[in-house]
Amino acid sequence: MMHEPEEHFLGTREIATIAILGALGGSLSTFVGYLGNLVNLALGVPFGAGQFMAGLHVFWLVLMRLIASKRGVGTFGGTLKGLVELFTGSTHGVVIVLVSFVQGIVIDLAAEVGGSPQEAGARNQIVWWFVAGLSSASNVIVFQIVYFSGAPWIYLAAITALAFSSGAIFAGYFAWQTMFFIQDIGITGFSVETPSLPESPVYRNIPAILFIIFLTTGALYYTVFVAKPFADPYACEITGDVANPFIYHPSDFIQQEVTIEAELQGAYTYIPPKNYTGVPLNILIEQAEPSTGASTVRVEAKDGYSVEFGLSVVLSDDRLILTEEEDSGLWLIAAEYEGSYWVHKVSTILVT
Amino acid sequence: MKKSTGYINRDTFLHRLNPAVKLFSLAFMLIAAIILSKWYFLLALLLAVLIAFKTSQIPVGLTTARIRFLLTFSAFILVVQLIAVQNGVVIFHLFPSVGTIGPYFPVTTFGLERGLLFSLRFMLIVFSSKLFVAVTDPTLLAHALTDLGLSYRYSFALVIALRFVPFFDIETESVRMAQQSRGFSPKIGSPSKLLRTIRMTFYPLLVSALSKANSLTMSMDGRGFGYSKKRTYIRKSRWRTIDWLVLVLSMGLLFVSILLSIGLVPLHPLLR
Repeated sequence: MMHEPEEHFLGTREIATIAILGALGGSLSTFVGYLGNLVNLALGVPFGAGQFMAGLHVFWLVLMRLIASKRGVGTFGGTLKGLVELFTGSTHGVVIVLVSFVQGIVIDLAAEVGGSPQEAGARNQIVWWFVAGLSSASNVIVFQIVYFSGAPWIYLAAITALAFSSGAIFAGYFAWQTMFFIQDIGITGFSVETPSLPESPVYRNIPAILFIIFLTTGALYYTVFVAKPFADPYACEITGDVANPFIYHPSDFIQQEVTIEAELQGAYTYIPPKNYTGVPLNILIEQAEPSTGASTVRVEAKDGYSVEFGLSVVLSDDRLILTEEEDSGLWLIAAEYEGSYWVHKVSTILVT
Repeated sequence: MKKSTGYINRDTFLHRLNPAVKLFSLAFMLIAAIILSKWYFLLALLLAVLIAFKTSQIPVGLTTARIRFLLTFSAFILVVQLIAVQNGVVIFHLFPSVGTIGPYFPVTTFGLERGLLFSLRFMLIVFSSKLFVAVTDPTLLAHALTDLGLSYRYSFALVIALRFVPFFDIETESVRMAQQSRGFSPKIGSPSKLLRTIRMTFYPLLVSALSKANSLTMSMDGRGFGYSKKRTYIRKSRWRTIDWLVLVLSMGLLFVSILLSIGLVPLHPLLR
């Protein structure tokens, strides 16, 4: 019985190319992943340092999407490459499939914005570089969601920036260079026309200059306006079911400071009675004006630890104060409570 | 030729399960492990996975370099949490009080809990994935995916990709030796050196890969790949009653973990 040939989303050549590049990329990525983990161990960090090679994982996805210029190739190729990594022994197990899948989606988005190599002008390469960086950086986010390492945000921001830069260089810039290479050597069946940049060195470097300006401006903006790393480390947010949420800075409440004597009686530790100076929690809660329905106060620390008190108990307790711990942050002194209620590095006071 | 994947052919209960069921069960279990973040829950799942290794006659490979590396990495995660987390009840100090010096680095209940949580989650993901790979024939997985409605054209890509991995292992070695014979030694001291190293090793591999893709395309086209909607298989995955049962059980695990995590089913006070 004869069948009519069907129209397919991807042709045989495209499927074969994606499969072959997925095999090559997947097997090399497993190796690159090991190298990254070795770099982490060598530097004494649980993860992150290996991110300088993150772009090498995305390189293959960009290349697939540039060669097989069709929607969805990034996602399909990413999933396939992730599966190859899983079956060839990735240290991240099945999570690598998710990571690679997300990276592929981002690459497909890049193609929508940046255009295919045939359509894209030479300067649209910068869009590809940028999104290749985003695709590469997405692995940090996915790993955080899955593993939730609880690492400090500054560290996460640093490794995200590292992964982004690696992606822009190794997956963006280098993949386009590879397209020129493929075009130059003329492999049979792969005649992808890639727009070449004008010969002038100034023209050739415009994307790089723009890219560096963008990164510098972005980093400055993030540092000054978003991350505020230079903001007072002795500050915490008082929020939740309150009419007047605010950021607490000890310097704003100097007049309300009290000194109490307290001793820490933990299950295994003991700090003999000594004086602590700080602002009572009830003053801060009253300033925030909790709603009539609120009943609890949750004190949260930067490391994820939290303790809970009854709102009415907090409002009537003058020996529950926030003090400044030397070289650390805000410390909740809970004089009438056992040691586990003395919270270090308080970041949020949540009224619910 | 080197073995390309971690599949180990045996005739055990897990090997006989439908590959799609194994894939879904793995996904459901890992989602449950992320949703219900309790170290004892993760420990129970990890123990179940280790028992599954035993019953499936798959060596865990504790002595292999790769597993030793993973265990070291897990221990490292635990230690980092122990040192970094100050809150909770202090159990002991890593550096006890000596005269007027110390104590430093308190190990707290919360730090221990978090350390166990992260390291157990990491080990669970890695070991369960390793088990999945060891008991799942990739060709049957491709068939199982086709059975679920995915076009064989795309599931076949997985088969092609895995089949070519050993070829590229050999090719990588050949390129490395060829470059070495030309006096080229890989360097990663700076981005430019790294780029040069990549160019010198990736490009020959890429040319080889694209040439392979070209000949593979011609071969596939010549055999009428994609011409028909259906494809015949020598080996097929099957759905049996036990597959449905395992699928329902793994979905039940996910469902219960959701109920427990959002508090619809209260946890025993000792387990909170």
